[in-house]
Amino acid sequence: MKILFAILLFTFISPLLAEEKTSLIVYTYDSFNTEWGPGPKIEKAFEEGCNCDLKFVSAGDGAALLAKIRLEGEKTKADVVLGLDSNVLEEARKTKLFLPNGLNIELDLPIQWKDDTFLPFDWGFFAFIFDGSKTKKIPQSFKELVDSDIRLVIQDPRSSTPGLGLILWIQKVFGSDSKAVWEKMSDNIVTVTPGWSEAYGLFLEGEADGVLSYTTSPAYHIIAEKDFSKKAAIFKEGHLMQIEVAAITAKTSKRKLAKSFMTFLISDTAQSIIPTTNWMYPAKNPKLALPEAFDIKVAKDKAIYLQPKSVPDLTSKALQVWKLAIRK
Amino acid sequence: MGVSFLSLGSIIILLVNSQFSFFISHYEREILIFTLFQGFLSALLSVCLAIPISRSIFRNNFPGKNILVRLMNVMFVLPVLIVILTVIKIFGFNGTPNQILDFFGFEKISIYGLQGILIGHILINLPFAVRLILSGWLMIPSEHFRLARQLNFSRKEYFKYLELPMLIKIIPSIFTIIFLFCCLTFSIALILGGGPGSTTLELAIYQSIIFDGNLGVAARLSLYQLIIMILILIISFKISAKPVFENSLILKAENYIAKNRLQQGLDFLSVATLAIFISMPPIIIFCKGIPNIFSVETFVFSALLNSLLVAFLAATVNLCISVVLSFTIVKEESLRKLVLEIGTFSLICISPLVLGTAIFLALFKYIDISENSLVLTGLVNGILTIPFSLTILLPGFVKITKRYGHIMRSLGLSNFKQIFEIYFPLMKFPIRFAFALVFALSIGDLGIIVLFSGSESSTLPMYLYRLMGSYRMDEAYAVALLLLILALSSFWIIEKGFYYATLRKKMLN
Repeated sequence: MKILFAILLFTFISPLLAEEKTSLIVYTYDSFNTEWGPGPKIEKAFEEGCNCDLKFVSAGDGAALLAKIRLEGEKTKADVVLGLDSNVLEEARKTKLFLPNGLNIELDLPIQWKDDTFLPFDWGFFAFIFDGSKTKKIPQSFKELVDSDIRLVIQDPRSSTPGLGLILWIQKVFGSDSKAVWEKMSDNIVTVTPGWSEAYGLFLEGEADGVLSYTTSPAYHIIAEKDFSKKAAIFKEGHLMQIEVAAITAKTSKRKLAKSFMTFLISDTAQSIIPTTNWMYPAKNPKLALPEAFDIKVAKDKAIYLQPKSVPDLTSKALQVWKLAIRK
Repeated sequence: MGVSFLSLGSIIILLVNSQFSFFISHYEREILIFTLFQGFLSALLSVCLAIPISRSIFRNNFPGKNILVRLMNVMFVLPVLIVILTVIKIFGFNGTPNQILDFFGFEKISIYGLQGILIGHILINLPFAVRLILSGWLMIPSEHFRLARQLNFSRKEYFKYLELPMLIKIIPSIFTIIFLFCCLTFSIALILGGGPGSTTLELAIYQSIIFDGNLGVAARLSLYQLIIMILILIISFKISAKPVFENSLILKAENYIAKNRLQQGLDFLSVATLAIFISMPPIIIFCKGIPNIFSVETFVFSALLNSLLVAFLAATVNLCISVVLSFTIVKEESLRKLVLEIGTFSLICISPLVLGTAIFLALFKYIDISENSLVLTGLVNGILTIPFSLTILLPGFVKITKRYGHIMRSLGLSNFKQIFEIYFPLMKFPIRFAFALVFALSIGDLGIIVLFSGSESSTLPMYLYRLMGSYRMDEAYAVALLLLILALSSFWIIEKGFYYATLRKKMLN
């Protein structure tokens, strides 16, 4: 009991004892800042050259990150927000909490990036992942998928970023036919989960043949587990991109430091850390070639990117269609 | 006393931070109805199944009875996600029942749908209900049983005069607690329900706060939810006494009514079913966790320590508040007493996300939430569990006040002295039990409050979710196993203490 009390006391006091350095507060999503994620490595590498204290603050998933910023509003303590997703960019812009970053950096994205406020640091394609050892005939298109009797698990667009990605993807590709696509897909869907983790967990447990994730997911299994069975289905209709961006907040008093962090994020050092820790493609190709598992198999002209301005409208339309078409 | 108004207060905080309208859309009404419907059905089934099962446990002595009763606490502290995964492991596409069906050439049965929701909720709540009803059975004085035997009661009379009055007293509140729990989760309903048709209000609240940044909608939804649930609370308060968490279960079968072969068989069947049912998730976690227990990285120890800290803080805060609250409630007059009680119990009627958001909004301007995330999580867990500890403490406080209230007043003891010199020594065991319960519940973390997650400090459940969020399913099972062991052992240690304490007391008498 006494020991516990001492520990408790120590946790209160210890921050007071730490030496004061200029600190840069970066809000990010949970999985970026895990012990095995990119967070700690990036923190170490950046602190070597900045004489500062880089502090990552995590806030649930990507959606919760935006929610936290929105709740804090003008009073936010964040200097940089890292990990907003391109499909909620318009929502983030509406908060008016971010200022142009004043950087001019060439990137290696399949599309032209022209935004002056939000800077991409990694990206990926949404895709369905299958276990090649169990599913012999991996579908090559949405059409093949919905006509098959493949069992899928997807995420709820009302609570998950990939889930939102899927309805936007289908809405963009099929337009007014999207309702028919969903109706046909309805009997393929085993269940809908609130987040990515539950869906991917169900897939790994063999409850479904396929799961909505990213084209880079097999890279994790190959590199970390030497498991070559997981395959991303490459669709003829193209793949929706998810671009993860960072932005400097309007209220920061450390603009210069924040700017140098943004530049660092796109540096060779950071960009070679990110792929094998965050399991996404680098926004700028590092000099040292990435493992083969990161080869991009989606042709450049099959990359679908939604203009942020068009997303809110498309979202409400797609959500309406989805709610009506999935009768489960 | 502020705690009593926390649930309403948090809705008000959301209100002032948003544009609000009372208008409820068709979609919202639909999910509200579904939420109540599935909660009602889940609670009804859990309670209906729990009555015969707890009766079988009560009237039979069998090896492993102690272990079975203790295992019942476990389901309550496991993260919901793990429970869902084990349900699917058992009843899912590749589960044993479906493989048997497949083997004999039958079509596999899908768990997804209302049946899935019910199975999931029953798995979590049935052990809890059995445990509470079991303590109800133990509350029937053994003299009554002896008397009934002497009077040669028939089975019908037994039920009518001994069991029914007890059941009427405790069932409504047990039903209500389970009902509330089933209404306030969304993962179970959505995943096991199989799709958007099984949306509960909590998902809509999550969507409006996290995705749309629309606090008004969240406030409206939780306000309607709160009103309905408080009504249900009041009704159940009116028809029953509060449920009694018996601090120690003396697991000795009373000489009950004579049983015939058929009943013996039925008893065996129901106990065996329950035993299999509640041991499945721990077994699955054990099997999946053990091979990976060494692949868990050392970070887990800091998470473990953090969890212990959070749990300790929660239990301490909880007890300080609930002791004072119980002390005040027993002294209050009828109406104020009811308001205080309902207010406090309404803490389990409010969406954890709404409460978390409100606390966040109220505090973030003044303190650094992420620096103090552990302390805050401990505080919030401590407050949210007050209704549980109150159910344990209140009956004792009522009893003591009835017996010694006059003497204390005529002696002119100060409140402080009353609490520390009269109530504390007499309530030692219930207080320790409440401490243990809150401690264990808090280790399992009552649903993570996403906005509170901090910079480097994570608790064990948070660590588990992070592993699952980064492809590391195998390690997540190992952490789940650790969590299970930790929760079980904290209960075990304290309950064992109780067991011996009561044993000593019995011997002294």
